[in-house]
Amino acid sequence: MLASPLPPDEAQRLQVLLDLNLLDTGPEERFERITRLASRLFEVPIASIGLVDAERVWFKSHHGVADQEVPRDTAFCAHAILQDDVFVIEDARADWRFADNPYVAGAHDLRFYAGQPLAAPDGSIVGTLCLLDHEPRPFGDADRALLRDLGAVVAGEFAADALQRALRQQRDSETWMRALLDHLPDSVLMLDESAKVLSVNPAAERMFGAPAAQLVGRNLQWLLVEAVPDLVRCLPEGQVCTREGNGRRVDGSTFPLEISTSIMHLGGHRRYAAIARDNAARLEETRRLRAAGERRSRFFKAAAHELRTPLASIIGFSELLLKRDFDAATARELLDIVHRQAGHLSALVTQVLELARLESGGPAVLQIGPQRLESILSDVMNAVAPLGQNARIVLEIEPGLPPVAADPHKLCAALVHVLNNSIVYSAPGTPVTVRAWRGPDAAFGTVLLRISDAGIGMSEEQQAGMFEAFYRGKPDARPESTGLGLAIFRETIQLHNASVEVASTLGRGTDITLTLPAAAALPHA
Amino acid sequence: MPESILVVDDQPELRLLIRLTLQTLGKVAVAGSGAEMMERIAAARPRVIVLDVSLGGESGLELCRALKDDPATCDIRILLLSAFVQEADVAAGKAAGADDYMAKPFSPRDLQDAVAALLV
Repeated sequence: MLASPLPPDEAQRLQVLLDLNLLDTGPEERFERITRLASRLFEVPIASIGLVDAERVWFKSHHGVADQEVPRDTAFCAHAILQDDVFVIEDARADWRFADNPYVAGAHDLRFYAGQPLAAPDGSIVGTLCLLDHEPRPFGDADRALLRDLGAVVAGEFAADALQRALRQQRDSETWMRALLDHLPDSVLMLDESAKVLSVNPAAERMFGAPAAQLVGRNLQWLLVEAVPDLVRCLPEGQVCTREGNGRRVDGSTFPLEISTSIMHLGGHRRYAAIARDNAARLEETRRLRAAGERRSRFFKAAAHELRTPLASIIGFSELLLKRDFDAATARELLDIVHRQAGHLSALVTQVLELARLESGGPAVLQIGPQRLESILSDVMNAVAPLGQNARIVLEIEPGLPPVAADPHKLCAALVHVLNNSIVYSAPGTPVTVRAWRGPDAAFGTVLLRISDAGIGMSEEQQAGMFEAFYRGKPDARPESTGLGLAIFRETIQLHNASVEVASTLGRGTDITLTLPAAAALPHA
Repeated sequence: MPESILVVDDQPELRLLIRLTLQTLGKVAVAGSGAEMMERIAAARPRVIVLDVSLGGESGLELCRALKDDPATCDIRILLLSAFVQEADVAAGKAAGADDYMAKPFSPRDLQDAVAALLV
């Protein structure tokens, strides 16, 4: 028996066959109809459409025979696909190539075979339309022509399938592109050569405040406040032109905008794709960063100034002490200044670092938990005791306050800065009142804390600057003050999610009121 | 011997330091503010003023400018003393008409030399 050699394009052919999506699928009337017709036309008992797979011939349609598939090495079809035209074995038993074929010598008892090779749309031969009979028979030119025509009908079905698949793929990809454009947060506008809007996506409808129908047909320039002729004119191929400016909505309102255009060619026409982005958030972010940068720069300049001042005393006096002879009392006085200024310098460095830590670290720098305000206030009283004026402090704490959400050490340190100021900037005989009471916020609960003095008070300008680092409200501010206490206080309060209100009148005194969240508002409480 | 040097600084420690530093060069008077400075000048005109750039709320630069603009005081030599030491600060001092500019912290020896040079 002669085994069939493999076609030269076997690998490609198998891939094309696989892509046809016909192997191992159920019977289909469009193919059944053809084999039925062939059997009747040629008066043969068996007509089938065989697809030649790697190891088998699988029948998409098999009229008159039960086998769904046969091994490739014994199949006539494996020979037929090597031919350019109809392959005919008029009497297999008389043909040395097939006489000992099991289908000829065995129970199938086949004598006649005619197979028309079937081509996929790319020309690869994937199978045959074949006729089989138990009797030998002649197969003339007219028969061959008829079989060729029927084969062409089968190949036509393969081609129709491929076209369907291609159409579906294109539809899928168009749907995907459409979905992408629909959900893109940026506005996309398609423009013609004169910058007239051809189509827009939903983001553009939202941005310009009008449905697509009202935007299409307008010139891009109409949607922009500033004239930007170079967005479409003079734009070199393959380059993107980006401009910042202001957009104009259909209702006339304007908004900051960044727009980019690029050229493309569609169906022989030159088109422009314009992508527009609302620039407000970015501008705001830039402004915020610049303000933060300026604040930081001011802070460093002030910090350098504040550090140089005690250093001037330390360096100057120590040099004098080393180079000149002073009497013991004067020398001691100068050393005392050096010591005090070194202490001040040390306090400054500590507080600068503390402020930097609070500013950079976020909530993680605090250990916030449920705390009794009474106990924190008692620590505050101990901390200000060295000023020797605790007798002036009047504590008015409402009984049964809920615990507050606080870092006890940081909140205590912050309150000490405020209480210090209240004591120092008010007359010795006047009271400083510390009042705490339950806030009106019923949902989560708050505790209010107010520190009031009847001191010198602050002007509006002083109130505006009081929380700035190194701010000096008065030229004769206490020399031992670092100027950082209230800046540290404010940072600490912000990290507690608390708020602060200042009410002050020159010559009358100052009220500083904190609203602290109750511990019940903590996520884990 | 007339007072020849006036030290203007809002910080008492610095006034003391500069007075001690310069007393080998002549008689040293001190002032803690712009108003006090004007009183001292009226009482006894100094030849050199060592003037702090930031006097609490007052600007030493403006005081310097005012002295240099006034024909009655424009020949008093002025050394500005400042903890602001960037180029722009020094330029601002020169623009205000200062004869010299020294950064804080300073070596008393350097200040002494600088003031001595202005007294010549």
